[in-house]
Amino acid sequence: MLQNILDIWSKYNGEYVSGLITTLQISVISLIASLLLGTVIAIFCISPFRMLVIIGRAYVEFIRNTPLLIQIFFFYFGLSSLDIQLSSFVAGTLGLTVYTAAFIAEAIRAGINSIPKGQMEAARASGLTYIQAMRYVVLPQAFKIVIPPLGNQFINLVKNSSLLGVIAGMDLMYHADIISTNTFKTFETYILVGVFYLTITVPLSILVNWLERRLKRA
Amino acid sequence: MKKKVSVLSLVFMLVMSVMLVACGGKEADKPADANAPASGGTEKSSVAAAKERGKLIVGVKYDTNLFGKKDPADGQVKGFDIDIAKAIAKKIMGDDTKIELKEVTSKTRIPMLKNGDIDAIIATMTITEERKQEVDFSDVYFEAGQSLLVPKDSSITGIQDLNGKTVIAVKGSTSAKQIREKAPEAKVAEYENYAEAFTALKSKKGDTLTTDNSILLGMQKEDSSFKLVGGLFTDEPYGIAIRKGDAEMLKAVNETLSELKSSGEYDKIYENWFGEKPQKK
Amino acid sequence: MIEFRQVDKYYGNFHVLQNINLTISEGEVVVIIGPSGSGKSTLLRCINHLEKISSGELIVDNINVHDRKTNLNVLRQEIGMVFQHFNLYPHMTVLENITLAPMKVRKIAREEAQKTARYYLEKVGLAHKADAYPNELSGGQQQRVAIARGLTMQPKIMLFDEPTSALDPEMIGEVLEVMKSLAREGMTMVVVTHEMGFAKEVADRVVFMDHGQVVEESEPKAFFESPKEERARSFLSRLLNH
Repeated sequence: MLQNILDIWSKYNGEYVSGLITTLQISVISLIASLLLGTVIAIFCISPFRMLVIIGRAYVEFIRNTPLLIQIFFFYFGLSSLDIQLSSFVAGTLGLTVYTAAFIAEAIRAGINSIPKGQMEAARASGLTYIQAMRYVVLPQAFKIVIPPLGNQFINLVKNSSLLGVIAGMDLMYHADIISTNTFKTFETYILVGVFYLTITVPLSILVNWLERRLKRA
Repeated sequence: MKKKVSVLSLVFMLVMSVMLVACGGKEADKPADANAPASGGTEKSSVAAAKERGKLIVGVKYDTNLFGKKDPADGQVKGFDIDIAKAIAKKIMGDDTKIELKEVTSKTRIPMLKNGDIDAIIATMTITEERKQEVDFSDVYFEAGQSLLVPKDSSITGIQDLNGKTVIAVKGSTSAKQIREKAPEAKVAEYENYAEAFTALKSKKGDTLTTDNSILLGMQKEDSSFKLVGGLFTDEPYGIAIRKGDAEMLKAVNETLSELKSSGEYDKIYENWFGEKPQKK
Repeated sequence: MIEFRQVDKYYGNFHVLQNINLTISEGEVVVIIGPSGSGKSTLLRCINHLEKISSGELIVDNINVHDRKTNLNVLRQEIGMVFQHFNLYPHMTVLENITLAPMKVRKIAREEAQKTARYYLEKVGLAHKADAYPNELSGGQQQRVAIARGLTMQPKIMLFDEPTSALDPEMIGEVLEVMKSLAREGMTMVVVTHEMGFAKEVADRVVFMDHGQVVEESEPKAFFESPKEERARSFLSRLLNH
């Protein structure tokens, strides 16, 4: 079996590497974008404004309870019926961002809620605006708490990016699908692709653990 | 979609087994054999196995117009491939209802056959030398050729016009490989199945969709704003695939095919699905 | 400086504040006492709008606090507040805790804000703790930092919400000392506390509250020696026998 894997690697290393690069790009962009979007949604959810709370909750519930694949299809195929043409890369990144943001919003909301109310009160009492109090006082503390759940979401994000394979996303899974059907060595092809996903997710796990320890010290 | 999930879980299992390899040394080589041809282990031919269980299990497509497509109205899978499958069931089992149709895709059909999940593949499968290493093929049961489907207002008239264009194909299909060879300047984007590939064409995710003419005709039938261009630029005979070395099954299948042809039943089935008599070669 | 006019407040059906009329002048030190649940903390928290009033008027520093048009953040700059549980920001050093509001609200430059912060830290006797984090300080030290944090905004009014209730007994003294010196310097202070000693020593006036009402308002000497109201008398005797 090892020989088969090596054969596949020597014949298709270009595909694997270009897939890995695409998967990495999509993951990094989605990671940053979903962190920003998720934070905004989380703030909506806990804001004192009813309208924002409704928008935030609706977003989280709607996105969290629909399959990611359908969201990706929506951005890729659905929007094109409105004459908005997105490449598979853009549609996939958007889908992943929108989807992951819902989970990140939930994690951050839980984190913010775990910060004692007195923190917000002290900040507001000193004249800081709601947004300033969030930015300087509540969020920095909440982020420490949500680092582990966020890390899990990021790892899920990387793995979920494999769904781009179904919209010709040129990512790792897309190439693996094609390689496996060309070689008939399904087992070996996907073992190799699994290893490639690990090269992204394992360092990410280590980074998250390191961050967690570092922030705990501060 | 279901398939995607199963592929993902497969990957998970595989990565786990890699870890087993890492931890357990030689021992973990065993699971790898699960994918090797089953012929060595199975003594019985699949004809005997089918008789024993009381039904023949055939892998067919569920998403391919005219060949194998699930009718949402009654849940039945219908098409040319299905009628051929039933004829074979009648021959082997003596009754064309003693059959189970299992959905396969271009990606899953060979592994499923090898695993013994199905007795035969009748799923618009082109006979190729490469595939002959993996499975045995019956005589040709359908003569197909690759063509191009384009929007009616497209400027593409054949494969010579594909430079820099995006060609949509289905993952694991011969057409994808063929088009890379015949139009190396074209970009090929491969999708999971014909439905998604056709959706991609309709959503303007590519300039043309390439696969066998017979399938393209089915798509055109569904949406008349598309047309076929470029003629048949490959010769792609469809065969029925069975497990390597399963001579009894091969014989039964080939006998069925020749009986169908000599009795005129084949022409009837053909005309029923494609609206015309098969061209004589 | 602070004027409650017929203020009422409800939590649902619960009438927390009942027809409050109370005036506090500039430079006055007013101590609010009363049994727990009497509404004294709520009264205090209305002054900087941490709580909304249901009806009536509340004027602070010539601003109608509960007018929709009032910019609360401008009002709050002038009102320092010290909480029972200190509420220092645990992720910031002492110096950062103190300079946050001056820099972000008053837009004072960092150097200037730090200079002021160090001045007040010195005043509460904690200049050497500028770079410490709150969890490295004792409760008493944390509360003194919280006071310095309030003062660095150079407010016109300081509110104290049971500032010593969460402290170990041996730390209460150091916090009260700081508050006393502040009172002597003429700061307008409203203090909710159970520290009768503090009230006797520095308060200009004692306000006794019970069941959401201001029951009695007197000078401390008069209040502690001969309370007019029965409820005040029984509260004091319970406190003394404690």
